[in-house]
Amino acid sequence: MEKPLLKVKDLAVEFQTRQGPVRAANIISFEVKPKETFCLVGESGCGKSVVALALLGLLPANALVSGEVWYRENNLLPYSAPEQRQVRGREIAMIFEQPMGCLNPVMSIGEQIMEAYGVNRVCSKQEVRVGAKRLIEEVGISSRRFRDYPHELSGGMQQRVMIAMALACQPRLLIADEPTTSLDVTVQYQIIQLLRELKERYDMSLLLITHDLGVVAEMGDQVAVMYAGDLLEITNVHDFFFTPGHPYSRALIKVVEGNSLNPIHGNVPNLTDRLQGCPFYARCPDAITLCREIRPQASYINNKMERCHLVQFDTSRKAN
Amino acid sequence: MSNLIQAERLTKYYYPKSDLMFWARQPVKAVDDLSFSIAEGESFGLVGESGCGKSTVGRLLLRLSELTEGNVYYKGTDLYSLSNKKMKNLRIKLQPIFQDADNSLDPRYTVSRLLAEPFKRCQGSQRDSEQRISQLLELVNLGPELLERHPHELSGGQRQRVGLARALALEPEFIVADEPAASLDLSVQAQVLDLLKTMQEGKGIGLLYISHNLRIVRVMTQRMAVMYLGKFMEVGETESIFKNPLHPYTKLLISSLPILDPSKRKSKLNLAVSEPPNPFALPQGCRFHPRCPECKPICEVENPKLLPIGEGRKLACHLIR
Repeated sequence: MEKPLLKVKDLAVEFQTRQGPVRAANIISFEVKPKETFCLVGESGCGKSVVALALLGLLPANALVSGEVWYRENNLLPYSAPEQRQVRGREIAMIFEQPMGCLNPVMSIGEQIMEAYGVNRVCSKQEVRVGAKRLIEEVGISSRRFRDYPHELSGGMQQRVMIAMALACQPRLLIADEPTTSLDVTVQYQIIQLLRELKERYDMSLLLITHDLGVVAEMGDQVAVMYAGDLLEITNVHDFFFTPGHPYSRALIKVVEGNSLNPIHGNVPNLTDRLQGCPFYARCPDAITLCREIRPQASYINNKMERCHLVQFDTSRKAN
Repeated sequence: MSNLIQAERLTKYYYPKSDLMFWARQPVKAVDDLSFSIAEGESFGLVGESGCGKSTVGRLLLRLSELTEGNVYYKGTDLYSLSNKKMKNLRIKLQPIFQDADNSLDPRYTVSRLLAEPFKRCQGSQRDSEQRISQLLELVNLGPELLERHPHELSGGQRQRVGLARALALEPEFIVADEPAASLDLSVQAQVLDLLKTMQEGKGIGLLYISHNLRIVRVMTQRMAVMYLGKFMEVGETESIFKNPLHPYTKLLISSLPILDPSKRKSKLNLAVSEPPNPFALPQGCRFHPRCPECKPICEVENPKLLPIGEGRKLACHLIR
């Protein structure tokens, strides 16, 4: 079996707040293989972005992070700030949901890409300019717009600039946090296409964080479902859409499927309350008493992970 | 069915603020000469990319901003000829629901005060309104324990439901819902939309549903219009448009919807020039022609009119006649 590029083991993140500790990520484990698109799916507040930020050491000071993050042979979590900077951008790069908020409004996009391109290289300014121009063309923007400022570009183009900057140092892993959420459907589709293409060209792995199952269907290889800080299921994209295992995954698929509305009743639990049992208990149609009291263990069957009591009781359920 | 809302030659131009070269100022044609009607109890969808003017249409139908040209009739009454006082009384029947419940609810008000506000406007007695507030809360599936909370203490879905309750409080006959679910999560989105749909169908409210999410428009509406840079490109029954889109722009929108089946991943769609042009400098001829895959010479010269093609369908395209 191929060695994973990124291996997250028992990652837990807890924020110290005035209301008490908040468990934003509760013992998360997953692996991202080389050249794979790994999707982290969940509703807002489920902790998916927190996991990504924890990988890069970008969480604020009130976050307590524990566990292990293995990137190739190294555990990234105990790294000092300068060591983390060596990883960020060069090995693991990230793009965010709101490109406008991440671009410097008083620098032309060309300069910003050049900055990202030059930061880890020893070369002349001329070489940097040539490299940056090549990058900007690669993401589908004409190099005539090299001197444009971020506000002169549409949202889709700004996202392209972000992608160019992230690719500047040829990272092995690209983390994309809701890259298409703020865009129109037509533009969203172009960005999906671009990311797919660039992933092939650069031999990257992609960690895609999204709540949009359409994007998952278009791009994903593996899908991990998060809910209220817990990882509930990891499966391949095909099984996720056709034979989702966890009751939450099934409910999610039902929401987007077909031509009727199938809401999931109830609300996401508050993370300040320490939950004893399964976080989805209150909304789960199949819940049993055990679910309220004990947090289910992860069970691994055929490269899939599922965290549900019902699976452990009844594996035959999966057969039908 | 009679017409609840009728818009005739609805037009709204925005002028840029800068006074430099004021003699040559070009307006942004946010809404350009639209005529349509919404029947009683009908839900009408409006889709299009951001910046195409769909929210402006919603505002104009409620007289939330002034028209440049045209008329809006509510049950035969011309909204824009009414005095402010008369308009104020009529607003009871015309209600908006906004995308951003955060900004449309006063942060200093508690939920009970937010919900009492509409009743104050129409002079109900104090006790009467208390009773109606509790009915309203029940209607939108919120518990009475939320009454003393402030908007920031509610979740996004709860806030949007308070917005919905406020819109429904005075039993309106027409609601403009401008992306009411866009800021919500999937599971909560379905809850709010389900509620809106049940209310709309149950009470026979006319609804203008504005969204860029085609999937939701398909579920929520009976008829729809596809809008592009201030103009309607295609109007018709929602299901028939989805089953058989005729305008190239509608086709583009529907084909760029992700398919929820990983084995049917689309290979390459050619969407070379696929960002909307600058609304300050609209292209000559058909507005869509620079992006249109089936563009003909005539499209570059002449603007196609929105013409009926049968079965309640209207289309603005030179290719299909």
